[in-house]
Amino acid sequence: MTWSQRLKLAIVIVVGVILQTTLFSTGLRVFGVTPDVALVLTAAVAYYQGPERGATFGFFAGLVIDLFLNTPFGLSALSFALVGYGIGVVQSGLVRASRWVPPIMGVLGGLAGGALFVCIGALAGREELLALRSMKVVIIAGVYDGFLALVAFPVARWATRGPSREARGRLGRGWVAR
Amino acid sequence: MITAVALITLDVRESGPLSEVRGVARDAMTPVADAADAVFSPVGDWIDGVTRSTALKEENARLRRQLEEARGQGATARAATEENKQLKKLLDLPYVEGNDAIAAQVVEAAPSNFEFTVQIGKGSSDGIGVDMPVVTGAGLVGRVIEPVSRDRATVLLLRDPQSGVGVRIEKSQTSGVVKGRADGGTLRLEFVDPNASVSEGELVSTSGQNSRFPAAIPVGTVSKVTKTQGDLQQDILVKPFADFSRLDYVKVLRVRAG
Repeated sequence: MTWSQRLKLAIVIVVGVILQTTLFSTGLRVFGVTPDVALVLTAAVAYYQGPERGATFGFFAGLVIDLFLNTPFGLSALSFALVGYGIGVVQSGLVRASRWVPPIMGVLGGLAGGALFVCIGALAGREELLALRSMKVVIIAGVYDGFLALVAFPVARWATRGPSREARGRLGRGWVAR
Repeated sequence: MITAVALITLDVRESGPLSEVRGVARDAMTPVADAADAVFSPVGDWIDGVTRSTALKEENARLRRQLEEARGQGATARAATEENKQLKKLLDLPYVEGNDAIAAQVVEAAPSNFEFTVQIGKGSSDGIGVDMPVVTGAGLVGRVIEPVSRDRATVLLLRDPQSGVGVRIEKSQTSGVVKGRADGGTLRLEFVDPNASVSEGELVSTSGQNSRFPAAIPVGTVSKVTKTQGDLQQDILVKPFADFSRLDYVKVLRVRAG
């Protein structure tokens, strides 16, 4: 992964967290539920970059969002990292891509991330997370995440795209010419 | 994964500088969040308007009638009057007497679906500290929790399951603890004497005993009592006075009782 890709991914995390803490936490709630912007971005990055990079991106994205939550620090980081790894593994088993992949991965990532957050949170002493409301919230957020994936996947593709063939070719030719 | 588990353990044990780190991050984010809010609130309002088009049409018709009646009054003046009204309400709170209090605007809701907190636009530089009670004209709203940054503070709302307040029931003069419930718009009243006669409609207010909250702040009214023979406690629900979904201005009481 190049430094340019790393920088773009860092920008994606920061912008995602800003959107999560401002626009989505106040104005864009559906049935009182906000989507997990950073989680959908994790699913998208994992889809394009595989399990290891997906898990790493998920860990850092979760860590940044944890700064703005009052649940145990590291809870989102762990949940998102596991989702990133999982989506990366699922992606590697896909035979062919389809236009339905982004929303499906978004829903899968949202459901898995929400369920992991609730279960690990309960293990970390927040038993009240194991409530019927949590199940409803995870389902609504999962569907919402599916819609959000339609935007998040192109963003992740842009951020993870390496130098173009032409650029690589120019670099290669330059090297040979020397 | 190991790092994440270590961080969770550190935070749960409340050791390490994680609270300070969170405070610094929120301070750093404040100007960015304010700018983003300024940019995104019209977008949010517009989308809200689109999704509520039927209600909006009715509201529009009503507003048109109101506009005819109140011709000449500008929208800005009306908003200012409303804001003034809310702030005035906060000035004459009987339960604030004797306590130093700071009015603050609610600036953000929680970015997560699993916690019931709000951010207020005042922080440690205004003298706000952890565990201070937060009220509105209607009654108790919650308390300030960590992290408190320089310009912002987090308020744990009464409806959060992590919240617990020592209360007294008006007529029966029984004590109990009101705890938040994630489900529904009511709170659960626990640890009430199983032999006490509690009836619906009774006023519930803070007891001030072994509590972070001063006595006599109204919390809500008893909305449901279920008493099962042989049970060690009664199942009592309380309807809070405060509307947690419409918090604009609050008052932070600068007391640290208990």
